[in-house]
Amino acid sequence: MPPGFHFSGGNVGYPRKGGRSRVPPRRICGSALAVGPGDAGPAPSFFRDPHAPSRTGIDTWLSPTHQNVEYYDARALPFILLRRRRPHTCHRYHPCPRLITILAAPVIARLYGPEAFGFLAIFTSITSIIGVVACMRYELAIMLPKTDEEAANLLGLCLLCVAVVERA
Amino acid sequence: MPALYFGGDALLSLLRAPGLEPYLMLVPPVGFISGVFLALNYWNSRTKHFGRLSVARVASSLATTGTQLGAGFAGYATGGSLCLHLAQGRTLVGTGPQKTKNHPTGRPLAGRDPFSPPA
Repeated sequence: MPPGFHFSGGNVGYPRKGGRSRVPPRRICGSALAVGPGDAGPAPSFFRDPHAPSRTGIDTWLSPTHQNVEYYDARALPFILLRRRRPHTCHRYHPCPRLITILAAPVIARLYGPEAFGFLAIFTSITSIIGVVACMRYELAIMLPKTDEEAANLLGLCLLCVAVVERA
Repeated sequence: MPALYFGGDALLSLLRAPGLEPYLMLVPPVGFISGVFLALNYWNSRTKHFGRLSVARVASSLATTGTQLGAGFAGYATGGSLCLHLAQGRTLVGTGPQKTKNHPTGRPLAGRDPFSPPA
């Protein structure tokens, strides 16, 4: 499975009950081939109109039994999986930094002695404990306010807290 | 800083790591940098600068590992240098890419909303 592959995304089928959904329903490539609502068009037919180009470049066909649902051909699955997607930049546990650390670990273990790793472990634990309380947990509140101005003020408060805590 | 100055000996005797004493002065700056890093991470998440976030993460890791390897090959393979490079990687790179002209503490670009995500 490539990263970013969703079996079900936001609004897969129909808009949620109560209120309009902000995001219009999208076509999502799903497990063997069930997908979101298609632009069924005026004339429902078993096969999609061959002259109508699909937005994704992958041909789909409409379900004979379900209205407003289209399916991908099973043969299109590799293309669906290989399709370019929006890269996931904000991935907290992205493999790249860990991979760098893991690849460098054997070399560093040859270069440094065991006591150096002991020092590093103690130092890391001390600094991580301090780092958690450094912002007084106000950094979690940065995401919450409605206006960006308030959030910027909270960021300033965080920086102030960091300065005060590290002074103490 | 004063807490570590006065309580550092007690802390090290509790941890039974007297060799760490010269490196204890590194704790406040590293804590400061990681605190700023954390706050800016959340700020960048809010303003949707996700590319900047991931670049900072990867670059921090690269710088830390690179300086550790470099110091090891240069012959400074001590415990302190490992700790020092942990601090150095964050310092050099971790906060670097996050400091932009659109940042509220910097000078905003004229004629542009300083809080808007990049186009």
